[in-house]
Amino acid sequence: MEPTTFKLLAAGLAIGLGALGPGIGIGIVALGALSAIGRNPEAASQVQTNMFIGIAFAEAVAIYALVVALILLFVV
Amino acid sequence: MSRKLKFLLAAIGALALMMLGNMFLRFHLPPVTVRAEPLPGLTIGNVRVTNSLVTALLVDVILVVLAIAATRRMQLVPSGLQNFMEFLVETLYNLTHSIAGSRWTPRFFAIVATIFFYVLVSNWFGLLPGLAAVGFCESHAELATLHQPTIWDRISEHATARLAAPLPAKGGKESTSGTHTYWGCQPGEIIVPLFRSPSTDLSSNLALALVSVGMTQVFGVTALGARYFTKFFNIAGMLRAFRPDEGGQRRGCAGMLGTFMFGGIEFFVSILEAVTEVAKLLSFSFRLFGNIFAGEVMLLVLASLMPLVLTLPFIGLELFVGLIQAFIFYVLTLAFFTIATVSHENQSSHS
Repeated sequence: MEPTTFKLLAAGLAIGLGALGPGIGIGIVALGALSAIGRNPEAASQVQTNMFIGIAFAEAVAIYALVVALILLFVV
Repeated sequence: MSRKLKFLLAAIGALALMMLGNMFLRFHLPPVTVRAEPLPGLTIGNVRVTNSLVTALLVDVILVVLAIAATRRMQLVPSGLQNFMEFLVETLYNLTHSIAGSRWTPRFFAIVATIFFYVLVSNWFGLLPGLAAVGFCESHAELATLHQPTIWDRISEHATARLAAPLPAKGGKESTSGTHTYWGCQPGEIIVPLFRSPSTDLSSNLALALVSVGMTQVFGVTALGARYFTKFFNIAGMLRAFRPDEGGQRRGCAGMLGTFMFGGIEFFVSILEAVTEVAKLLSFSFRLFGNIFAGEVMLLVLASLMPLVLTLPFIGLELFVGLIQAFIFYVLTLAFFTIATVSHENQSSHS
């Protein structure tokens, strides 16, 4: 087995597994925001803004995984 | 019946488009480079001008020209371009006001709105069709020499020396080099695009993130003075153990230890806060880079698989992603500004 094989495997695993948690997290954030908007439609704009902030924080974890995958693919 | 006919016609049209695209618009997937490519023969002092720098300047020019054109003949009752721009700016201003409050909005707005419009235009600029095909022909070897050694190169040299696995092409990272000849180029040459969206260059995103995080500190100090930095190094809780408690009594040994432990936890949290401040740089720059770069690579891959048909809906998706990413950069910057201007002690005493 060549090192390249492991490199590709590791990059795929890094982003694949790293996207699992943030995916679930973003789902939970959107669930909360949508039920909040459903109960109180007038607060929609404020809820949406905060939802985007929450999503961005959850997504940051996936970005770290993406960084690891990119470093594995293009740098190491 | 006519509904069925319409469906049939649409299916036939899609198939025809697919065949046309496959016949006339086939292309070989160009090498994907993570780093912005330096343009040949363009240097300022010791720095090679990259295509993303050129595009960043172009985006600036677009924004300035738009602003001048909208405000050239100001009218009390706006119409046309002035109306549109006023609508955009006003919407953004109201949103900023609802987050930051009336005291800080005038000071925050210029920075966060500039970030929003700059990131938005540079995200959308990279989606212009045919942008990747306009550029200079460069051979692989020349491209490798054009690159200045950077921290990435040093990391990769270090890593390859350890793994003893030679890289296929140092510097350019062309994974799919092959023997394909690009249109208008000599064999063995690849196209270095003249334009590249600044959002797909990590350096430009890092610069934006530095502005955002740096201004957060500036506004924090403006609002709270030197007290702002106790957020990052908070030993006040630990010192409290050696002072008399609220009733004016001296603390017993157990009380002192307990207060000291709680102070230790507060100190640890403040150190975490300082680490988060540095991690913000990373997440800001890589969030924008990752989203926009991945989107453009996806468009390229889809276009090389099935031109014309598959890419159209995804360009719509990428337009949306570009807008959302610009909005997230704006909202996060604004939220961090607002958090920095709120006193930490006030918050904890309220709760």
